[in-house]
Amino acid sequence: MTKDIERISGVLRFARYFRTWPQEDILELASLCEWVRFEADTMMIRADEPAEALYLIVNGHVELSYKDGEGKNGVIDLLGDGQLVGECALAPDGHYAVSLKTLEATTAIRIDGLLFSKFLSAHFDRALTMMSVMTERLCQMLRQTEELKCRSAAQRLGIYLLADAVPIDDVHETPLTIEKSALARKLGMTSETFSRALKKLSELGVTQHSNGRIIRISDAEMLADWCGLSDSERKEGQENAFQAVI
Amino acid sequence: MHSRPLSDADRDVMSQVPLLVALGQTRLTSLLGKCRVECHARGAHLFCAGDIADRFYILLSGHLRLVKTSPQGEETVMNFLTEPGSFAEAVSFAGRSYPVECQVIEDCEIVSIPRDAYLAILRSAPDVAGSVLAGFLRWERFFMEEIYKMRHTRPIQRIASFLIDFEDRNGEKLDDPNGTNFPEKRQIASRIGITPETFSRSLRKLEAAGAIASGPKLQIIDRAALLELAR
Repeated sequence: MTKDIERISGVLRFARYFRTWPQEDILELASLCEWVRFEADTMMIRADEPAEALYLIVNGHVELSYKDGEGKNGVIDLLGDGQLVGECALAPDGHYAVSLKTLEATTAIRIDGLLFSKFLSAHFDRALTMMSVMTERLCQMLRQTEELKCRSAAQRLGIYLLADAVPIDDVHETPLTIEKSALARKLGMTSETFSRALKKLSELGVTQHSNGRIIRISDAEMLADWCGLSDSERKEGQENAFQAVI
Repeated sequence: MHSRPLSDADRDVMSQVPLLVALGQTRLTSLLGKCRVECHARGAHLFCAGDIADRFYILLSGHLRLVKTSPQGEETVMNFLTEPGSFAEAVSFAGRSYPVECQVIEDCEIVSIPRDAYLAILRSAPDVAGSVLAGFLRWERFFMEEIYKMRHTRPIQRIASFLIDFEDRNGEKLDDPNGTNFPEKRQIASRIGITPETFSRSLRKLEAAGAIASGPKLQIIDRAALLELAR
């Protein structure tokens, strides 16, 4: 672990959670942080353990799993660069609700929970932004729940592909940056269901290239229609409206 | 809708709500002094999706339903609120709009708390911000549990689990023949994210296992068997 306030503050100021913060607050927050690096397949945090820190993922992918009342574990999400986890470290005597395992070598910024909590107590407006962060997370989870309830596996995959699609000439292409099996888990389906969903989407002009690492979408608007996305969901003026949907 | 002053019993309920307890007794008493109990009849709407969340709520009694409507007009029940407690606090504090619609499905009594009034008090006591954030974690756990169930459990498990949870939360009322019963079957199906056809098939299996009676009104016959099927 290394401590490097300037480099850490340089990352924090571009993280969407903190980018509205004044520079002096960013620097103060950076002083509570340290770089951490985890090898692939490493447990970063474990459910039910005391929550001592939050982590901002800087580079890498991690799998979020939830343990039910019976003690069974299941993956509920896959997180990547720029995402923050472990907000329960801000709560007095908080315990992690989830486990976090790296899928590849991962670099993160560790934020000490107790010190961050004290910082927020002294900076009410920053505490409000953290409440907004958590609210945003809750709204994302609400959308995810709705997706799981209302959309088919192929529709969920279609929306995921649209979210990362880049226009190239008259088509859109989506690079797959993670293994298909990991993507299947992120979307809440088995590898077999994922394959069937991809096959279904091929009927709608979605094709695989470069050994499956590039997905080409011949008609993004038609796919969006088929996935049941409304105009407002597509044109909310956000940086990436499809991403917001998933 | 009509309103009335808070009773001692209402104050007792509200002083159990973590979000309010965090304020400390003096500030809480000051806040409650400005509140009234609103009585809403079945069929009323507390708020619609897209309304600015300028207040959050404490449910004292009654049943509410949170519904998300798709752009195609299809309704999905996201949650039933049947226990006393706070709701809509996260979106309210963040100054966002409500992401769902809130419908009254059984006459209810609620206290609505203006966001600005609460935050003004909180600003005078920033040391309790951590406790307030902790209140949000309750909802985070709720959604994690939801997502986990949707991804990793079979429909029959979700039905069994829902019936047990609902009975646990509303046991006394369910024992009363004139009291509240389980929500309508199609609403349960929507709440746990399965199609009405799958719901009907699963109910038949639960009935065949002797766990429930699935007539016009659902009834748990063998709780132990239902618990086993929920696992």
